[in-house]
Amino acid sequence: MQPDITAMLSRFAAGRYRPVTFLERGVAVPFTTPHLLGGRIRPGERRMPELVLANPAGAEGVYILPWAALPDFCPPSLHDRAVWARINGLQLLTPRSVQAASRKVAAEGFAGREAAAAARVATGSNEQQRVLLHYHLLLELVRQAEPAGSGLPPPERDTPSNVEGRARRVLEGLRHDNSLPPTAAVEALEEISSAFEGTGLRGNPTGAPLPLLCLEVATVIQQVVAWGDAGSAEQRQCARLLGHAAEVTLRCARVALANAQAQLEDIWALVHRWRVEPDSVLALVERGEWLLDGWRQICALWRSSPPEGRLGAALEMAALVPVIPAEVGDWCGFDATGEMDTTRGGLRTWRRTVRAHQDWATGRLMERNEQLLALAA
Amino acid sequence: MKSLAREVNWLGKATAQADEKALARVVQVLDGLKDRGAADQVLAQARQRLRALRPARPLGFMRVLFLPLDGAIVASARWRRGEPLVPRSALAPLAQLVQQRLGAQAEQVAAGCEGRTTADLAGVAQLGAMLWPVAALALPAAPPPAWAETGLSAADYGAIAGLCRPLWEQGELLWAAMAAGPEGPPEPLARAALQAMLPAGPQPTTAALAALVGRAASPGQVAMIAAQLEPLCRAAAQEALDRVLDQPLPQLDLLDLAAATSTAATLVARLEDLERCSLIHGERQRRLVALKRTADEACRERFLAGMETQVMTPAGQMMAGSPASDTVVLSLETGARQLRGLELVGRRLGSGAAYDKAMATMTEALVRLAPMAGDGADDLRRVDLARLVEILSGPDAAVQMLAAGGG
Repeated sequence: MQPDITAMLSRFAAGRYRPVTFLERGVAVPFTTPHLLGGRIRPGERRMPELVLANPAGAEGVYILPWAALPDFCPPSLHDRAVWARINGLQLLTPRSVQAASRKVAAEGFAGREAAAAARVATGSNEQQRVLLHYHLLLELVRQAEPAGSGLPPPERDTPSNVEGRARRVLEGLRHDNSLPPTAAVEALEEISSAFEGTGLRGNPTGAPLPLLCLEVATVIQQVVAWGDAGSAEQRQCARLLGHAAEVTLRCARVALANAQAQLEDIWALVHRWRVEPDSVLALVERGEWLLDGWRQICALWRSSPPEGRLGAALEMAALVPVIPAEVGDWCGFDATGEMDTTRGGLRTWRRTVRAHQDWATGRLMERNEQLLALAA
Repeated sequence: MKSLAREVNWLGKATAQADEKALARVVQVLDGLKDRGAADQVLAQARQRLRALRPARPLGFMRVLFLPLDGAIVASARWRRGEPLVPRSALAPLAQLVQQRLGAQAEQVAAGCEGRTTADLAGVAQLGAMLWPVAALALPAAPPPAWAETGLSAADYGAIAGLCRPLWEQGELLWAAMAAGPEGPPEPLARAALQAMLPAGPQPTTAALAALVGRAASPGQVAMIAAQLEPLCRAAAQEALDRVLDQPLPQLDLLDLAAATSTAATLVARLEDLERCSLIHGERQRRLVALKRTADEACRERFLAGMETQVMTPAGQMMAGSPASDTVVLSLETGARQLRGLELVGRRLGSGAAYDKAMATMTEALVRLAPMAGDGADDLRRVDLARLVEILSGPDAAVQMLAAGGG
């Protein structure tokens, strides 16, 4: 990397970077500028956003800069400037809000036509996912709460309009007090569909993105480990460390997804909770999104690398493996933070032993990063 | 017969001037012929270009056999007695002779060549290891009867065979260094190959050096290694450098932009290496400066032509209504990226200001198109133009363009 950038960065070195919460870790931003790859945004002091850069362009360490200083740090690409401006205006920083803002920028063509098309497809598929999930919630509601012996066919064999009617009748029937009219309950169900769009239902009948991302991480890591086993001792070591980082993350993600999906086992109760304390429902639902935030890009790095570029890809993947914040320890049932810290320490040592064969100055890397954007949309 | 010769000559000229894709197709067709006969003459005029482009050629017994002599093979008309060279007319009779004498071993090598090309460096190494050492022992002292057809004397056979034997004996070491040419070759490989040639005398060493230098990304460094091995090698090293300096430059105008960029990058690396070579001074230094100037001009011309054909003309056509599909826009961006690559390479030859000016002209022209940009799916949009400006002149220029148009 350029020496002036290294010197500039040294002023913002974060020293021992141990985020306690996901918010402190920050949300991954899909930058295309090589120096910004893997960058995250987080709320800083007085809620002014900050840019968290872990190992930017091969430089070791974590650096925390004011979000406003991003263009002074390095000339961002056209796409990154637009993302920077759009995210700056977000009231709430979550993986979902940042992803939605970034997709809008990509869909406008700032990262090229391929990324634009991918962003539009992803947005469309999210909308479909919401509709599908809403329908499945109605099915679930009917299954869970329709009085037995109604003589009606199982809801999954009924027509969508009949299912909607049956769900309304169920909601009417469940209304023992005057607290929740069916219209409000239907509205709440729509909001819940939107909230659960990432996690989906148990067994993932709707093809929700987070369970699919878990499968993608597992598949990619399997390939990485196979590549490592077929290569040098150095490759093997790196692949095993990446494999372990993925395994720790997936163990936590499975717990998070199961806890989130368990809320759907009693939909009527969930509707009530949603009306009273939506934040507690969301907190459970968002854990999976936060945990897997950044892994889409890690998988895309592997997918986009040609066979001869695997070592370089592994090097970049190792630099992007996210920390697991201490808050995960409260609910995941094992010392995920400690395990990930040890693994990241190993990856850091490994990164020092290999040379990056990357030319940060040419446009080729930017082009590659735009492909990542399309792959990870 | 006269008309056949005329046709072959015409085809040869056309091949020499064809773009690299057409040339590759001609080579592929001719390589596919069992007996090329007069058609071989078609390639004769394009040999300089083939040497520079090195397209992958199908492996065959003869091609593998003579790879260690790559730097010594010349057209029969250019061959002179006493020089460490092999006339092309001698290749077939020598290969036939070795093939006959090796029998089953030769058949095994020929079978191993099936489906492989010269791009398979490890495959060549494997087949060469089977062939070269035994070929060195197989050449008889007297010429075969077919030798008379080459037009060369029996004494010439002795000299040519005498050159081939040591190069085949050390073929494995030599090929290891030749194959690693794009990486230098690394000093230990080049040194080992040249050192192994020394006992064979100056002529085989010169031929080996020519083979190494011809494929080296760092010909100056290879020549320096040779010169340091033994005082006698200094002359051979300078001779090898003379050949490098005499070599015509690759014709960038006949290459597509991607190939022109990678060829120019290789050329510039070679020239920079020669600049660092202490064996080049005086007259050679002047020739090197002239070569660099010519290369600089060729790069700039290719850049300007590419600017027109890859970016300005298609962008203009799209603004005039030609559909700007995703594929077309992607190809426009690819063209712009290739131009940027050529510019980065070209700047190393010294004409930075010329590239600045050309880039500024191109950016201004694209900015002028912006107000006419549409926003339909098949339009070249303002954001597409901004991305082109970003690729060519950086994000600040692109942001300025968008800001100027309220984008």
